[in-house]
Formats: sequence, structure tokens, C-alpha cells
Amino acid sequence: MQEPCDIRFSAVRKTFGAQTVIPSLDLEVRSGERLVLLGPSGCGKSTIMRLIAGLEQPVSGTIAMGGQIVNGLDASERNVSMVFQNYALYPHMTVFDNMAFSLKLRKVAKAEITRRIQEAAEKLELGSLLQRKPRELSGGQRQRVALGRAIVQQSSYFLLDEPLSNLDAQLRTNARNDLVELHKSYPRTMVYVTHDQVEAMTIGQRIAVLRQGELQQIGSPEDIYMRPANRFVAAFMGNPPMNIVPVTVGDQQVMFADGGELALPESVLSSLKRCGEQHVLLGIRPEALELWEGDRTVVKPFPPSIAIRGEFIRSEYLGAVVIHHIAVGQHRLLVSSAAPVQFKPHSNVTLTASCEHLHFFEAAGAEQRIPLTVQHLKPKNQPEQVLVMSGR
Amino acid sequence: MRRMNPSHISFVLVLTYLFLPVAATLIYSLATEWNKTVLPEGLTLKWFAELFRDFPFLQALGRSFLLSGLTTVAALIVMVPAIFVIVVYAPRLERWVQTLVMMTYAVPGVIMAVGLLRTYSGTGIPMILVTAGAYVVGLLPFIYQGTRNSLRTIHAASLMEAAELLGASRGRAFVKIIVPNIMPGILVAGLLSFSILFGEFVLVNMLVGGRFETLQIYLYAKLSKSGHIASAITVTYFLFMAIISGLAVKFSRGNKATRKEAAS
Repeated sequence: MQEPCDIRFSAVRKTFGAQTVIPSLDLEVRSGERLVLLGPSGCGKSTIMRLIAGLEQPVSGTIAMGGQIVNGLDASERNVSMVFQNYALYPHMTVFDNMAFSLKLRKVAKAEITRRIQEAAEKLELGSLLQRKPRELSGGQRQRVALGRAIVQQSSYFLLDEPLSNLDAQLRTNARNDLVELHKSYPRTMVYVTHDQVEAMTIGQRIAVLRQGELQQIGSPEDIYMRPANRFVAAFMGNPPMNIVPVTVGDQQVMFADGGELALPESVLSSLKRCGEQHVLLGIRPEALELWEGDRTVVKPFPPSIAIRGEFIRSEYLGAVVIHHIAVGQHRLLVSSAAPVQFKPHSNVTLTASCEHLHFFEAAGAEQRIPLTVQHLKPKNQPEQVLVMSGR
Repeated sequence: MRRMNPSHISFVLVLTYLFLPVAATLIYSLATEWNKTVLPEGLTLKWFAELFRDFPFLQALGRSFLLSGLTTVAALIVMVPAIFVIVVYAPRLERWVQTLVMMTYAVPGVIMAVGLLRTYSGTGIPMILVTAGAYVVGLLPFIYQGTRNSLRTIHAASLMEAAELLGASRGRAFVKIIVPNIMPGILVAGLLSFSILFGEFVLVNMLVGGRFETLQIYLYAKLSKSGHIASAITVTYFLFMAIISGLAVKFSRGNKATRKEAAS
């Protein structure tokens, strides 16, 4: 049975003139969940939100909300609240009047209006600001007023279009937590648009990653980060970004373009061979790599690991994390660690990683993820530790 | 003493350029005689007294006020909603509006007057209405510019979208949200339009002339008769415009204060 407040896009297409923004989108937002639409600018995420709100209409396909098809329904008929990126507060009205606007239109009793506004104001710490005009408020306060105006409507759907993008970094961290807490108090179906992956990871129960109007992957933050569906998602999620290197699949190893080789466990290699692609992309997240001084040949036997020899270039100290630049042949890999290292520039280093943390993607077409099988038990006739590539 | 820097000097020069003619006109309107001397021979209010005793002057003032005021109000009522719709919902049409704006400058007053006379004389339509109609078209650039800028400043499109999501119809959102926020812009556009029409001479003189004597036509008639009276008219006109400007500013502020009180 369908849940009461879900949103379902079926083959939705949206164009603006000759420009196709969303070619054909199937998407489901579950009732009561926090779904984040994430993608670079121009990926169509705001258009999707506006389609949900009724501010845009699809060219074809259907949008259903709570089981009812809402194509053609105006914004005012969709039981939706929205917080805009620029908040869209009414400059000539006080905070109270801004929040009361929708309730007055619906002829809600005065006492009820006051009650709802005071309740929301208390939750959002706006109690002392109710008689101020928006121009007399700070950015953070305005954002909370916009939230308050949306909350008092008591709509079933709550849409937020990059509501934190105008706040400074410190305020944003607090606002992210406040939003999650707020959703617990007002558990409605919430769709949140952002291009900021940290916001997406912290706010979303599920994340939908979009590119050029097409859904790349939808899943929990962990799913998206640990098992990216394709190269785009892998590269988009994570800071510093995932190291992605083109390799050619050989009998016992994969070869880098500049001649270096990387031996892989049989289970991984057979996964690669099964997919039939000779040229693939190897991805390793910077935090999955460990950095060792000199040419190291012995690494942990279990789980199966790889080791890559390279040349230390430099480190960037960012406080909580240090990012190291390592040259491996013609490629530059990034490694992140908690502690700084004292390596000399151009000294020899070894990078190691567990095979569980290797990602392989098709090198052509949609650059889809190639599923790997990594055996955790030590296989017979296989070296304890798998070595080694170097383009040095 | 602080030395004056070049910006101060240029500021003083601009002020002198602007106020010297006004001051000279004011002094001339108060002078008994000012022909062969550096300063006026004596000061008097008799020219003003004479002017305000002259009934045709008061009538001309009233006609100018009526023609300019009603035309401005009509132009605002027609154009502001139209410009709003174009800016917010059909921005592609802005190109055409801009072309129209340019075209209003392209036709000189004399040519427009001749054209209107040829087209409308003998049709039975009163020429004063034709004049008012031509004025409305002529106000397009001022009202368009002021309204469009105000709409852009307040991000009218997202305010409208927010209002729709909050349950307001488009008409209601326009009246309740957009108009109050662009009111200062509308007032400035209205004031500018009013003062331009109040000082307009060519069109009204050619189309209706003595049949509807406005302040400018009256002034023109008096120019040849008495420089002192003409100066008194100019000073009165200047003061009248200053009072209207002051009222508009006061009204704009009062409007905000009223809303603030109503809200608290």
C-alpha cells in the first residue's frame, strides 16, 4: 500500500525552450524522510524541487504526491511549504506578519495563528524578534524566519532550496543540526536541495545524486560514499576527491598507462575479467591509502591489500587532516592522514590500501561501478601481500 | 581652515550652476525695478499679489494640475501591472518594451502634435483626451524604468512564488506583497511623470492651445507682457513642485510608519 505523503516521479521530462533540463526522471521520495537532491549547479535539482512545488509543470510524465497525480495543480493547491535560497521574506511585514501571512489567507482564527507562531518562534528562538522587519535581522535569523513561515503552515511536504548557502561556515554547521532536530519535531516529507556534499551527508537520510537532469544514484549517505554507482558519484562525493586512475586489466595485475603494474588478488582480478572490459578506472579514496616511508614490501596480509610505490611531493596541512601529494608515474595521488609526516620532497614512499577500499569503474559509456568480490580468507597459492606497482 | 579639495569645488560649482538662475528669477520676481543696476532698486510682493488676483492664472494652475495628475494616475494604473507581468512572467517581452521606450524618444513633440492633429481632428474625440492619451504613452519610459528597477530590487519573482506557495492567488499576491514593496518606486515614477507633464508645453499648445490654457501656456502668454510676472509664475511653479515633492516623500515615509504601527 502506498504511504500517505510520498512523492513519485514517473518518466518526468522538463524542458525550457530548446534546452532539456530533465530528460526522463523516475524518483521516489518516501513518506516522512529527509531526501537530499545533490549535484553540481545546472544538474536540475532546483527544477525537480520546483516541479514538486508546482512552480513548474512537467512536459511529460507524472508526478504523484500522496498517491494523487498532481500534474497541472497550482502551487497553492499542493499542501507544500518551501524555504527559498534568498528566503523570499516580505520586506514590508514584521516577522510575525510574515509567519501569519498564509494562515490569515486561510482565515485561521486569530488565537490559533498566535499560538502556532509562538510555538514555532520558541522552537526557532525568534520570540524576541517577532515585531522586527526582515531588514533588521541577521542572515541566520532570516533563515529561521523563513523556516518558521514554512512550519506554521503545517503542510505535509517541506521543501528547502539551498537554505544555508547564504550563511557563514560556523552558522551553517549549527543550522544543519538544527534542521535535523526540527525535522524530528515536525516529521514531514522533506526534500532538500544542495550542491554541498557535507550538507547532504549530514542532513539527508537518503541522497539522490544528479547530473544533467539524470539520477546517478539514490541511497543512504554511507551507500553513496562507500559504494558509488559510477565514476561521477565517486568523484563528486568526498573532499579531497577520490583518486581515479585509468588502468588496463592483465592476467595477474592491472597496468598503468605509463607502464607501472599493480598486482591484485585473484578474486578482484576475476571480478574485473568477468565484466569483460579491458580498460577500466581504478578509484581509491585518499583516506583509504596509508603512507609509508621508503620502499615497503610487507604489509598486512589480511584483508588482501595492495601497495603502490611513489614519490613524495608535498603535504598540505589543514588542521584536522593533512593531505599528501604523491607522484606515481605520471599520476598524482592524494593521501589524507590525521598526522603530518616529515618526508623530504622526492623521497620514496609506499602507499598501501585494503582491497576492500578499491573501486573499479568502466572506462567508457556510463562509467558504471564494477562489482568486486574480495576474498577475506587467505587463498591458497597466493602471496600474503600483493605487490606492487611503480612508475618511478 | 580646511583646504577645499577638487570634489568640494566641483560640488560648489554644480550648486551654483543649479541655483543661480533660480535665485536670479526669485529676486527678479521680488524686484520693483532691476534694469540698469547691479542689485534690484527695491523689493516688493506686488507681482505675486497681482498674479494671485488674476483668476485665469489660478484656472491655468488648476488645469495643469488636473491634466498632469489624472494622466499620471491613469498611466500608473495601466502600466504598473503590465510591467509587473512582463518583468516577472514574460521577461522575453522586455526587448519589445525597451524598443517602445526608445520609440517614445524618437518622435519629436512637434511631429507628434501634427500627426495627432491630422489623425484625430474631425473624429469627434476631444483633443484634450488625445493630449492625455499621448501623455500616457510619453510616460512609458519613466514608469517602466522605475517600476522595473523596483521589481528587480525586491526579487519580485521569488516573492510571488513564495506567496503562491503560502496560498495566495496571483492577484492578491500582487496587491498585498508586490505593490507595498514597490510603492516608493511607483511614487518616484509618478512624481517624475507628474512634473514632466506639468512642465509640458509643445503638445498641449499645438493640440488644444488657448482652449485649455495650462500653466505653461499662460506663462508663455505672460512672457511678452511682464518679465516680473513671468518670474513670479516660475517661482510659484518651482515652489509648487517643491511642495509636491515634499508631500510625496512624507507620504512614502508615513506609509511605512502606518504599516509598522498596524503590525505591532
